[in-house]
Amino acid sequence: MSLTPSVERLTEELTRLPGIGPKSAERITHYLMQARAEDALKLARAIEDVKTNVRLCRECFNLSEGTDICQVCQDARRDQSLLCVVEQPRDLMSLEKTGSFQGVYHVLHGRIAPLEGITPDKLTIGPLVDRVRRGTIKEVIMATNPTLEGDGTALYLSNVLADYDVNVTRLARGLASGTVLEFANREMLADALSGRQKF
Amino acid sequence: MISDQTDAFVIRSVDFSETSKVVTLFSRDLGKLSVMAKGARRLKSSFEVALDLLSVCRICVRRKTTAELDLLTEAKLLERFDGLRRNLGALYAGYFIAEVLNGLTGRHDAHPVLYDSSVETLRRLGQGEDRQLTLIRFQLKLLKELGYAPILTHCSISGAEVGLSERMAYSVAAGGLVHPDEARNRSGCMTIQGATVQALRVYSGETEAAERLVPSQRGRDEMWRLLLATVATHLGRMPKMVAMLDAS
Ligand SMILES: [Zn+2]
Repeated sequence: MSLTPSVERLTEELTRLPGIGPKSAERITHYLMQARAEDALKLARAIEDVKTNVRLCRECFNLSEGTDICQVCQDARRDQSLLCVVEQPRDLMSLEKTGSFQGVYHVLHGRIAPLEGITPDKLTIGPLVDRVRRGTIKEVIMATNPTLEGDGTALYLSNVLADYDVNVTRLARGLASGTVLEFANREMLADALSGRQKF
Repeated sequence: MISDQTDAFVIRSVDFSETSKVVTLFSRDLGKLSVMAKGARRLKSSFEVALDLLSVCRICVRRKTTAELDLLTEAKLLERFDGLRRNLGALYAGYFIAEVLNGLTGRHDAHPVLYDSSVETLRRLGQGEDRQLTLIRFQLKLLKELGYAPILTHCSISGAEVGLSERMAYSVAAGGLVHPDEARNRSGCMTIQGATVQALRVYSGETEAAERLVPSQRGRDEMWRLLLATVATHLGRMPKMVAMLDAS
């Protein structure tokens, strides 16, 4: 069966998504063609909104909608002297869900993985050092994933921050090493936060 | 179909999707294996923490000769080198080992002696042993096991015997010492101290004497430069980790 150019283009675009193979792409294309126009277009508009409205917070590099400063950084009740470093915005979300952290964040957007070509300059480490240099921050909590690369990233950062008057701590080993933060349950994360240790 | 069991450690791990990653392992009995670890990023996955980079695990795997990936059916953590998590230089040295093993060994090509030596090297690095010397000895072992051992007793070009002297010619391209008569007519030879050649011989011999040897800083630098150039030649490029090792 030969498909129209538009249909082919949609399938091709879907195939580029993570975890979507050609078969799944075809299924989704088929579903979208069957769906009511307004339902299908809702998806298109959601994608458009995300790409036009969502940007990275100027301060912490968390995702922010419509403004240069994210909701966490805008919240005056949060403790600006306590900063938690995470790899990805989804890790920040996991920690926020525990409800037990009142400080602010810094999102690295990755971890130092030299074998994959991810060197420290590819992450938001420069801006992190700038924030610490300003002097408001009293404690930096390393909440990178407890994998070898995550721990390596925390180690690198603690070396860099050793030159500044700031307490560097890390999440307690409530989490099994080698796993990722995103899939840990709420209780484990809350425990890990409260039991954090000096680096 | 029967799975083969072997010990292995992870030399590369690339996230494939939200829950899966492609993991490359250097195994003792089956050589380099690449597997899709489904659910490996989830806490409750059966592979759990076993598949973290440089972790040693016991795995069950079904080798596929037709497909690009082998099938991992079990992975259980045996050993982790926690010292690497506390020392950046040691960690980067560990990454270096992973990089060169991945680059220089072939899929399903077993090198049990090299495997044992690699695990021992990671252990030593984790215990805070001298990084440069540890990597020098690792590279010698690596080159020997892969059939690229430096030729240290005779000329690598003419085959003539080469006696020890204060300054000696070495060709990375030819893979060993070069007789002075040969060296005169060619470019690209490096000059190294006789003491460096002696140290390389002792380390290659892997005897008790190797443990007691304390090479000079110049000797270490010469060995490091020579071995790294040799590894780079076979790899086709300078290992990525070298720049980070130098900086740490
Ligand atoms: Zn922010």
